[in-house]
Amino acid sequence: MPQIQLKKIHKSFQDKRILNDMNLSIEEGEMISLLGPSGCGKTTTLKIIAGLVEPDQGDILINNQSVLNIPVEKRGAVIVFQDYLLFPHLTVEGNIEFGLKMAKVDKKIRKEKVKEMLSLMELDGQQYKYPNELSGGQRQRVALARALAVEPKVLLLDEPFSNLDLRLRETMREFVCSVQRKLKITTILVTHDKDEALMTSDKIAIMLEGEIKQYGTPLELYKKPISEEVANFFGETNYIIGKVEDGIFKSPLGNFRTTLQNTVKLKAMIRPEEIEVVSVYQETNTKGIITRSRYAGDRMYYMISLKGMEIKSISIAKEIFDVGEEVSLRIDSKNMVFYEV
Amino acid sequence: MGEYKMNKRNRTLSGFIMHIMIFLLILPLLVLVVWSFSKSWPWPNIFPQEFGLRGILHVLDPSSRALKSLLLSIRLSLVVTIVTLILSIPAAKTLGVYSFKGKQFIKMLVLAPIIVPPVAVGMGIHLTFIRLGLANRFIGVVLVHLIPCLPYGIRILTDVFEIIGESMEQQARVLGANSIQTFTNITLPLIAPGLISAGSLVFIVSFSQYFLTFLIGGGRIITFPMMMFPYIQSGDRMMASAYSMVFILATLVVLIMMEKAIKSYYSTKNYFYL
Repeated sequence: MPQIQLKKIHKSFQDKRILNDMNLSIEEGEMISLLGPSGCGKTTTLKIIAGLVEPDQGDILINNQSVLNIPVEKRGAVIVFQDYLLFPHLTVEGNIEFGLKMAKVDKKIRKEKVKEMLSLMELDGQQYKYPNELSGGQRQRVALARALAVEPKVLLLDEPFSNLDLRLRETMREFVCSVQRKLKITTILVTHDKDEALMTSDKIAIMLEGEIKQYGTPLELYKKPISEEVANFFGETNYIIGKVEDGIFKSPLGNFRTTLQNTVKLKAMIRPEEIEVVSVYQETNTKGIITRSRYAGDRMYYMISLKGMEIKSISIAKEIFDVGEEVSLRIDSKNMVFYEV
Repeated sequence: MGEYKMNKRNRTLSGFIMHIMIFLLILPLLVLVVWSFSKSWPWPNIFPQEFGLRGILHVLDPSSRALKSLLLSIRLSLVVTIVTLILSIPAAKTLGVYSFKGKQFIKMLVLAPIIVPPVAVGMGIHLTFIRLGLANRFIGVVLVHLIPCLPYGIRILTDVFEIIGESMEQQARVLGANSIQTFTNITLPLIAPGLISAGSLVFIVSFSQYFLTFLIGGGRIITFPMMMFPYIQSGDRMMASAYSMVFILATLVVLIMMEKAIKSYYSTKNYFYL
């Protein structure tokens, strides 16, 4: 039974459609990502779940009960915003215990909870500081501690790492993931960074133009994108047009065995890293000329011209080929994804 | 080397200008102090011919009603300040945080009392107040003082709300604070510095009202400026200066106390709005 369900959510702001027939269900203890470019309605979705924004249509269920009529403060869905929004007039301690204080929890229990949070977030000794005396990473951990202190049913993270510098971002990402696994709290992470989504989440929902285009595990999304839109969003792609005849996909890149039915025209998507560039003396039936190459240390980016097409490839930089050189391409048809034209 | 010299010269120059400015601000006040103690100071003498304590003694004399009207004035202006702030907070939040049709127009309209002189509408208000039984009463004067005060209160707090936005309050709400808790625990401390500046300005505006108090108070509500005015008009400079001095000091003391009170209550540190 899913813990959180969004059913047919619609939302418009001043005639501008933000969310269009959005459906999503999240199991208890899962960490999922809402991934999409800015302005696709990710933050609005979080606000709708938390109750800060009311949907025009649709329903939200938490533990199988509609929460549309439950006010923000009683919903148990806490957002950690992008800029942390620590209360500047309260100390770290005051910030962390804020939610409990508002719920009129006994002072003794509050102090204990604060202590527990401080040690969980590795903030020991910081409790009497004010937010402006903390570093970026510390501020984020205080924001997280403040959210977790109220023991929410679901934790909503709105681009939590985008304000941190690159190195701190990776540390914090690991940290948040480990805390999430330790507490097994249902978490929704909003991000526009696909690497972040791939590395942190159990499942990813791709959001484009206010709709969820695909929802699945990171592996599914990367390897089997259901549409070109999703495939393009998730990184570099090559598209080859061909046809299927008697279980063979015939294309300019060669013939590949397939289980597909006969079709006149079909488009195959193949990731650059699935195309291996090898020496021309090796036996493959696809040969092309390198038109561009870029050295990136451990990898090589090639552009190969082949029967009037430009093919992208990312290969391990074991053997380096020069521009103008003829090479063979090794392609595994298992990793091709087919779309109808 | 040359740059350093240039820098030093610039600094002496700006220091000089600074001192001149301060001097120009202090000098009239000094003259006021001297005037309030001088019996006669005919032109073209640089210093007064004779000194006396008549002005100060009159103002401080319990039988002269000056102190009584001073206390009344402070009480009146404090009430006006509090009412203005209470009315300004919701108005300012609406104008500063939410977007709606005609917002710019309403923002302009709020400033109308500053643009249209109160004298122009004073007569009409007086007639209405007489009909409503508000004329010649403390509450009537409070109400009429709100007209010149509200624009300042709303304007300053609107800017404050524009800066802090709604996000802090939203954060408090999702953490489990209801709307009243959010207001007292988050909104008020966040806007406290704005409350101090708006409150100070509103207090001064109310404290220096003469015409509206005179009109609506009908001579029953005698504030400090009303005691002062006849002396200024009649040219009794010693008395007028003594009154002015007390006027300035009283304002200063009240403002400092107000700031101290708000700051200690909300333990406001010198933080920037986030």
